[in-house]
Amino acid sequence: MMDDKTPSSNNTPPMQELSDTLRPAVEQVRAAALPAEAMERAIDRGQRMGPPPPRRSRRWLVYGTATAIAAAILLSFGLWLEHKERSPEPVARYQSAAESSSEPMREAPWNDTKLARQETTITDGTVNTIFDSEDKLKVKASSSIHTRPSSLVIAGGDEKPRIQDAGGKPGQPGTGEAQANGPQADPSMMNAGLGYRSGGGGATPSRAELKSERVSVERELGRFSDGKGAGTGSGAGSGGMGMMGMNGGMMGMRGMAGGMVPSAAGRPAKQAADFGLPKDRPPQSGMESAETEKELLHKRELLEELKKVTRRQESVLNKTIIGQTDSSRLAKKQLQDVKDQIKVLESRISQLQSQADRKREKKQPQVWHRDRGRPTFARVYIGDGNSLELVSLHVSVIIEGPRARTVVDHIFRNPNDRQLEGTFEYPLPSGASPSYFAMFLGQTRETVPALFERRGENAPLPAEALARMTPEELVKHVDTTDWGRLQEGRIVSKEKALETYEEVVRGRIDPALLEYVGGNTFSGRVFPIPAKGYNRVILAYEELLPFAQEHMLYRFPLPNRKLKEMQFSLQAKAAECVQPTCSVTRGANATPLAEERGERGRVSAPGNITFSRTWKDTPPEGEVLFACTPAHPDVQTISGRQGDNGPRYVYARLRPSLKNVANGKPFASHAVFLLDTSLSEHPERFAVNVELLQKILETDRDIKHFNILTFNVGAAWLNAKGFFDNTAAGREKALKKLDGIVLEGATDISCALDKLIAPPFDLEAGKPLNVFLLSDGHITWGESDAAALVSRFEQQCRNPVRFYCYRTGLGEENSELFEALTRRGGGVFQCYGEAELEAAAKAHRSECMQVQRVRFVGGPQASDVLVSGRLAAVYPGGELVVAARFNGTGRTTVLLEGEFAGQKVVQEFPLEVRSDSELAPRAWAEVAVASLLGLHDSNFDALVTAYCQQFGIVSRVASFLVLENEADYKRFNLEEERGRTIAGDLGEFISDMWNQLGKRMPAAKAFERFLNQVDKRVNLLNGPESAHIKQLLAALTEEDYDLPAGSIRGGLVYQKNAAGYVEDRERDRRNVGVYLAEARRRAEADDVDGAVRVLSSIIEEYPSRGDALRLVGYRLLDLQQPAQAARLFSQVQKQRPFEPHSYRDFAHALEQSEHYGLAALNYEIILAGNWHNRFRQELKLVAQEEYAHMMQEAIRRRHTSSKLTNLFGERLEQMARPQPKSDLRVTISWNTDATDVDLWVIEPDGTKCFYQHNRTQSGGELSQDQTQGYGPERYQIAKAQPGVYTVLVHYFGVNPNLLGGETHVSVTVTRFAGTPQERSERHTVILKKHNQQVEVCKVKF
Amino acid sequence: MTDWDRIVRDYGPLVFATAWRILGHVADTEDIVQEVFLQVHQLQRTHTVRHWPGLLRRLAACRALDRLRQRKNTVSLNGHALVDRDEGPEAAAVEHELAERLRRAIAQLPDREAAVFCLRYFDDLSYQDIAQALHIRTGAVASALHKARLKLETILLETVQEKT
Repeated sequence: MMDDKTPSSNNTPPMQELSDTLRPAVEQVRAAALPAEAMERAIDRGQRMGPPPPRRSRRWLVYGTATAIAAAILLSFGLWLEHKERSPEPVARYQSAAESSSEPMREAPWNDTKLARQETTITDGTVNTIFDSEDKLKVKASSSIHTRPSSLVIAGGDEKPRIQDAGGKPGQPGTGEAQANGPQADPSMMNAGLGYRSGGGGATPSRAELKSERVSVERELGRFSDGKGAGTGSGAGSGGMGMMGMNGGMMGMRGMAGGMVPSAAGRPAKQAADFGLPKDRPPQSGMESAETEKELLHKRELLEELKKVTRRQESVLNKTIIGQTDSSRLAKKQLQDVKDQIKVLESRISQLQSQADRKREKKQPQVWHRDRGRPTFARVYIGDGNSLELVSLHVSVIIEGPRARTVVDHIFRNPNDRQLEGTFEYPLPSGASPSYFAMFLGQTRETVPALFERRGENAPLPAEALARMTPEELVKHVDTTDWGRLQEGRIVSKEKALETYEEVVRGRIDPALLEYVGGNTFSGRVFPIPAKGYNRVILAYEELLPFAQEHMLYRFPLPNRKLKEMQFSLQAKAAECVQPTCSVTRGANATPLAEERGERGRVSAPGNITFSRTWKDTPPEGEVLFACTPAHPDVQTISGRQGDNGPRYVYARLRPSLKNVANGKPFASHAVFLLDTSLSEHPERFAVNVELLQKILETDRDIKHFNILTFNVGAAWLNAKGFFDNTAAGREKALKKLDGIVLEGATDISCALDKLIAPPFDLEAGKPLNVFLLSDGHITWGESDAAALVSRFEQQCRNPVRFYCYRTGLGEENSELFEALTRRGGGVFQCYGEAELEAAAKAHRSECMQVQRVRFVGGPQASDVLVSGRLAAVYPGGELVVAARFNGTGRTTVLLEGEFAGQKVVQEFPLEVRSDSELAPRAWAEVAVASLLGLHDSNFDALVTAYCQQFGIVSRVASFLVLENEADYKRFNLEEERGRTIAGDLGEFISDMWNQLGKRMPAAKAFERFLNQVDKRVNLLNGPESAHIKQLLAALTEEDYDLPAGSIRGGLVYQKNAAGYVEDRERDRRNVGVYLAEARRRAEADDVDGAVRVLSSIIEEYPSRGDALRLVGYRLLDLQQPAQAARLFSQVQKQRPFEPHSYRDFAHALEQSEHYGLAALNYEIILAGNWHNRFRQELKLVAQEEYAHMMQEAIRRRHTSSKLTNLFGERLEQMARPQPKSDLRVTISWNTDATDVDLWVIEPDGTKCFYQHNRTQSGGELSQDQTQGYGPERYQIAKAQPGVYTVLVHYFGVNPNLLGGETHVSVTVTRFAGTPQERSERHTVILKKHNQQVEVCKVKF
Repeated sequence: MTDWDRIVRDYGPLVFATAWRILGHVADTEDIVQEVFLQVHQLQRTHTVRHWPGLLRRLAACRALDRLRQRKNTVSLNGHALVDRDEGPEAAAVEHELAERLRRAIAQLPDREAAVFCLRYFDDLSYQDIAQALHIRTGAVASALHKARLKLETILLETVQEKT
């Protein structure tokens, strides 16, 4: 019955019943689209509640209990197996079999399906379960199974294989020999007695057939290994060896998957297995000689056949056996035994394959290999961890003398429907420097056009001719109608390049930028990448090829993914290369693959050898390794001229012939190993370092005592009480402590040197020390100026020290640091592979030649003579690179004068100056640039840029920038340095400058220089506010410029304490969220230093990225670590001096560290600067208030000099509106450029104060909207209303090219600002998606 | 597919939609859906359900309103905009606010009025359907709707006046 109050009929559409007040609101509610994803999720959750469980009868209860017990047994066993199979932990596990047997059981996932399966097979407490292939585990278990690690021991005769405790219990004495041969034993013998006995269901015809089939395959397999295994192994103790074989196999399977830290516990063979390091293990007797590739192939085929048969049998078994009888159990057990043996055979065959490969490759030098988990080829990241698809790759290499130029032509596809900006990252090989960068912008199209098309009348050139071309010539053969317009990079000053790039991106024009980001990675930002289009990026780099084991090596890592096409071609001069080999190596052992050994060496052009290979639709994987013995190993020279009329440039690698004369008297009996445990060492370089450490200690008997100083962002002595004795026990003890550590954090060399200066134990002053630096030396944290670092160390250290550094070929080393450290003794040695380990470990004991002078005599006149790495010491087997300019051609001689073993020596190297090398001029310039950069004086940056521009070199101070046209380069005045090189002799100029080294520039002077540079851009020192800066500069003392002191406690983290984090990290090392989460966890557990270490890993992974530095800086401020934050913000300031926020962040960190003087200077720079108009005036207003607040605090706390206090007082007087009082003040800043984050505050009455409603009735006011990145935005209310204020941030504009697409917003909430009751709290909020709103906090009044 | 799966699959969207419109918050809605099905799951073991949609709607509306009342002083802050994103964040913010205000007002109504209002105007149910779902008479539905509308209008007008 209808109520009389009903205003409308029941048939009226509901919305018409509503008044105008209600309708819009209801419409809005109804208009909201259902979040489909969430709905699906909710429904799934609902379904998972499932039907109610049926009630169980008593009988089922009994079975249920039995099942639970059985499941527990199985769980533990299955787990162990799974654990062994998975083993993702990036930590070494080098326990012996006995140790691992006591390993505790862990919990493992166990799903319902598995449980159900068990229920069907359980009978009176004995379980026989074979999981199918879905489970990826083939577990056999019985009631007698041990619940700890076990190994399969293969008994001789007709005994069946059995599970034996892995605790190293000896096998039966009578079967010792067969046990030792476990993996090699005759399978037919092993399988004797495995004849299939029919189960409860009776034998079926198919089973009988299958049986005979299998037996024949087994027999065939056995024939091959029969007899060969019989002679191997011996003795009663060999049961243990058999088991080790198995364990070794499993470890080998694990390989480097988790990137584990090596054990240092003196088990080199195991290290090799776990680290994928090539090891020359002694071949097993009797096996190697008889094996041929063909036999191995046949064996593989047979094994595959056996596996097939076994699978079929298993399937039959599963179908036919119902219920549990003795015979069915036995059948299953036997089948499982066969499977186990198949595994053993597989492992043995792989082993034999490796041995055969090693034998074949014996002549090729062995080198360390990089972690396969790391990217080895170019990628274009487009945010959120996504990258563009690499469609094809064409690589052409030319080798001239000691140098090579590689041109890599990439084609990427953007499968998205929208235009993108991407980050092109290229992991360069050690010592390489980019020489050319260009891209074709491409267009939206379906298919890949031809790489080189007929152009007009000209037919396309043959591939060989193209391979020989310079990149500049090469791009002229690309059809621009297919590929879009060519845009070539030009070298401009790095800082200008960055600013211009960002300016141009904002203007929506099309720039690209390639710059050095630290380590051996060069990063280019590419814009625009057309939707559904193909982009072509061409990069060329040149490098000095390393010399290892009397071979000159060239390596090119191949992408480990399938490409449409991959082409590689390498050309070298036949006359310069003796016995050249070129092969594709793959895997940890650097073994060429049989099916990929199709390279062909042939004379392509007069005097040239070409190696080429094309992969189509197959993943290339591994790396190309070219090796040859130079025709004149003692002097390799190239010479050529730039242009037609320029001078001749000569570049020569000299290898003086020095006898290995052992240094009679050791320099020191004490040794310290500075062992880098930062993330970048992970894991391959660390493995090499540990091997080196062991080898040095074992080899140099004059080292009586040693200690290890581990460092990342903090440093810690391995033995804080004193030195270890260099005995087997001492070494074992020390190295055991390194077992299973997690490599993490950034690299701070200064903290390590500081610890070395003041060890926590007694170290007599004046006692000499050998210090071995086991690190790539790339500094990503703390003091980065190598010269300043070393100079400070030399001033403070009370002990005479000699540093020894090592190059490994695993990525770029910091040559500047190595050279600075070894300037006064010590040396830099190379250890490119296993074979060089022995020599490298002894190298520091050899007499070295101290080179005093290098000159050219006879022939054309030489000038600008440069020596790479200055006049360093040359050790036997070492090399020296000399470069010079000549005014003509002809024969000349390099004279190397110096001292060796206490005697004056002069070595002569005759060479010829010609004009035939195209690589020589740039090679000379590379030495010039490196020498100038080694001076570490920013005054020379323009000079370095000039050389970089003239010769096409990307360096610390110069980047490649691609702009649309010539006018743009002029508009931004980007080439003002061009041509401004030294008029006189560069060699003499650098020598003069070097003589001044070691005199550290006063900090005040350095800062003034910096200001002068910034002044050119933002007019700091001549504007109306400049007087304040000058006043401050006059008032500040030298100490005021020092960065706040603060160190992070060093320490080692073991995997067992951070398992989840390590696993997450291994899954995606670039995922910033993993580090942030772990940092939060540690901070909550009061391990602030640990949290800082984890955070610093972000910097190690993204060195030099402003947003990463800012993000970590904000987090450090949250963690009350302003001193560390100040260091990071100081880096940001140097990188991005054109952004006022760089100064503001730095000032905040300094203020919190109570370094008011330098903080004030930074605030003044913000106020005085004439910044880009995208930084709104509001910024200055906020900065001024913050500055005023800081000065008031400084005066109140009396933490400044009287001069500074007076200055602050005067400054406060001059400020019109120093700092208003506010009950509530909320300020946000964020770490990313070109993003718009909005601050919203909901007042107690529900009024929302945001950029559209920025003045509320109750007095709340919001500052001007910042739409171009960084902030600040600020809300404040003088008199807060009673109630709750809700603070929110809203992600309005997203820059697609961000660190994982995220923006980290730092929110500071201050109550009662400007009053004595002032209280502040900081929050950090992560914004990921466009339009995301996050509530930060509620503030109650 | 088991019966339970079918029930959840068939009526899950209905439950979700009812709760979503009342709450406008993804996580809360998901929780409510789970609560509702959990409750129904227990219920159906002891009772026979004759009219699934009615029962589920009632439970969804009641649970969602309970949740709404629990958070009547808070603001919905999840990532889902309540309107088409193309309109821009400013418009989204304004509209979001209107809907939120209505929800807060609904939270102040008595149970029956709130439930009736939501089922009628958010879910477009007829009086009969509402009566069936809530086990009340059709007249009671009309009466409750009338009261609800009046109260809501008053509350909304007050809010607007306060703001201006």
